Amino acid sequence: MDGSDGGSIAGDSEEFEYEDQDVELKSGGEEDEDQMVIEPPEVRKAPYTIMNAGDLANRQNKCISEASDLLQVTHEEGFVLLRQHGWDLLRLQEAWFDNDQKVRNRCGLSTAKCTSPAPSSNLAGPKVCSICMSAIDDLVALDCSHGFCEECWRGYLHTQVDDGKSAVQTRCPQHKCPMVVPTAFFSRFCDVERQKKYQDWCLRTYVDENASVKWCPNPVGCQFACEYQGVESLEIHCQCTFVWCWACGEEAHMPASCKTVNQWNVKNSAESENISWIRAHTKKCPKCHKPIEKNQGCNHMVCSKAGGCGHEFCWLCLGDWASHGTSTGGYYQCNIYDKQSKQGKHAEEERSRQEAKHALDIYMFYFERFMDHDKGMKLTVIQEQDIEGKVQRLHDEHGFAIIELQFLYDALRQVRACRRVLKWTYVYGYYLDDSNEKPLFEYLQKNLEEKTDCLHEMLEKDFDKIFFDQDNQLSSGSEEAHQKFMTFRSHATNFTNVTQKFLTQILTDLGSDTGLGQRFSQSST
Amino acid sequence: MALKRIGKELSDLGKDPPANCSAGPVGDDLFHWQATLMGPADSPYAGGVFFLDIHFPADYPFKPPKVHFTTRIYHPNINTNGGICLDILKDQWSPALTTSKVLLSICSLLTDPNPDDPLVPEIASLYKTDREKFNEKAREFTAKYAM
Repeated sequence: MDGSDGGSIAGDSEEFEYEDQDVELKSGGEEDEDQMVIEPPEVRKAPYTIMNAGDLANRQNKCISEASDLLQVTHEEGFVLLRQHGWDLLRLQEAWFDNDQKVRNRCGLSTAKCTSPAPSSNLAGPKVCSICMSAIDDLVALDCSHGFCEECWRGYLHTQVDDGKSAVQTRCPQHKCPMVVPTAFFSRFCDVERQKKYQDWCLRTYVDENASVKWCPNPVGCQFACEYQGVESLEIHCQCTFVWCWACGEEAHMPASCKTVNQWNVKNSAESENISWIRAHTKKCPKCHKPIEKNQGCNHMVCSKAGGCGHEFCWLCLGDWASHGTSTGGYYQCNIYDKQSKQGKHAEEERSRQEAKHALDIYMFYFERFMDHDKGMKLTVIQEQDIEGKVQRLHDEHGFAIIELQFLYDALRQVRACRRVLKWTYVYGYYLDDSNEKPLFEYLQKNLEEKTDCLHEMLEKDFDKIFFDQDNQLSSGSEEAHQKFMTFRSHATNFTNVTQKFLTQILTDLGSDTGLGQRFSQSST
Repeated sequence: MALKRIGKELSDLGKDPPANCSAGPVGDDLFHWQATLMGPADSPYAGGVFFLDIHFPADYPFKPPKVHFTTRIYHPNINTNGGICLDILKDQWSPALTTSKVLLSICSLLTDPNPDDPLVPEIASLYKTDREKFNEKAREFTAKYAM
């Protein structure tokens, strides 16, 4: 069980100086993120719009219609013009009213700039398709009158679509002819499958070439896009449950700044392949040393009685749970990297090995906690589906109104939000120096972590114990069941509110320009 | 489609051969040609005969032919493997272009190198800073490999 608690080795504070820390100290404080809205999405009016494919198509059409009305051009021309101006009507408008012919030339809507020789149809003799070089009477041409036979158009457009999404920029096949091939040609010459691809790419340009619309970056994959016209950085709550940062496209990472997150990710990609990652995923029971994988979100671990010893411990520090739970008489403090108590342990270890290990240990300490909260957060998404089934059962068996069970979802979403923020507080903490800010930060973090764990455990263990215990079934619709339900509900609602309060506090205090200490003393007086 | 078009090009080349160059298939495979270029008179490549290898892709002419020099040449846009940096062989390819037009473009590239989009930066830099020395080296290469 080498270094199982991730923090087994520590030295005096000098040894905490690892490379590039000096530069990173300040990045812990936020530059421009203190404006972030902290309330859950349902509370406030979101300044952005989440859109699915249908919404996107509507938005795009509306945008094109506006442009074609304003500039007196066709819908097709409106599409080409907007696409080449990043879907920014204002930008297009300015350029257009400055010199519309120039814009037309630049966007491939005019033949004026065509340097290609006059098409062969002007010459005497039969018409020749300059792709297959066969004499064919029926040649098809764009406004530039470079004629090609239908078969060659088909081959050309198929190749363009097969080449990928640049197909939306396809130009006349004639060398150096700038004429854009309109959608109608793709509909006319492509098979159904390629038409669909082409139309999909046309739709996607509205996001891909538009600075104010972005795809949701959920690593699991997500079809939603988000449109936001503002300039201030903010967190986007996607309908897929993923919350992300508009500025950097990473998961929402308050209280850490985009810059800190980037540093952290670079560090992780360098380190995560090695043993540290494995260590974060499995641990051995501190009592019976059986390997244990964490499969629930909260940190209160019970070594499975079947095959294990039933020992209760804290996943974070592997200490006895009795020293953690407020109910068991201990007090929660495993968010603090305790240098003093760990130092004694290493006295016997060789010094040379220590120094190299310290940096890794510090990193591991924060990384493990970062990953634990990440896992906990992701589990809430699965648990939300679980709860749906349980809500239905409670409704069927005890007659509780579905609406009265809404608090379960609220509580779980609260846990998810807290876990996400907690996850990033460990990144924030990793790059925070040992100044007088640190104890205050750790105090806030401890509060949030403790309450979040309580609430999460309540939802995972207590809830099941009360209502879904096989050995102790509540008789349906009984007074006892009702009583227990009311108690549990008020308890859970209470905790939801409390964690919300701590969450708000940690975000306002850490996300401010003024020093944490200053803010903290203000808010606590 | 590709085969028909290549056959057509071949017969056109026979009927109306472009100045200073020739091209034709190697053996029975119509998709693999060899071409020869005469070094343009107003260039340091004058007097040289350069061989090129041409491979037509299956989706020709919708995709450009793959062309490279098999004769060593000292040129800012042609590397030691014979690779050619020419826009119409890449993103500026048009199915309305032909092998004969490609060869003519390569000829004019020999007369007028494009040092601002170099494939071999050292040669491009010499071309820009010391034209006389560049010409000398190019002539030296031509005499050594292409005569």
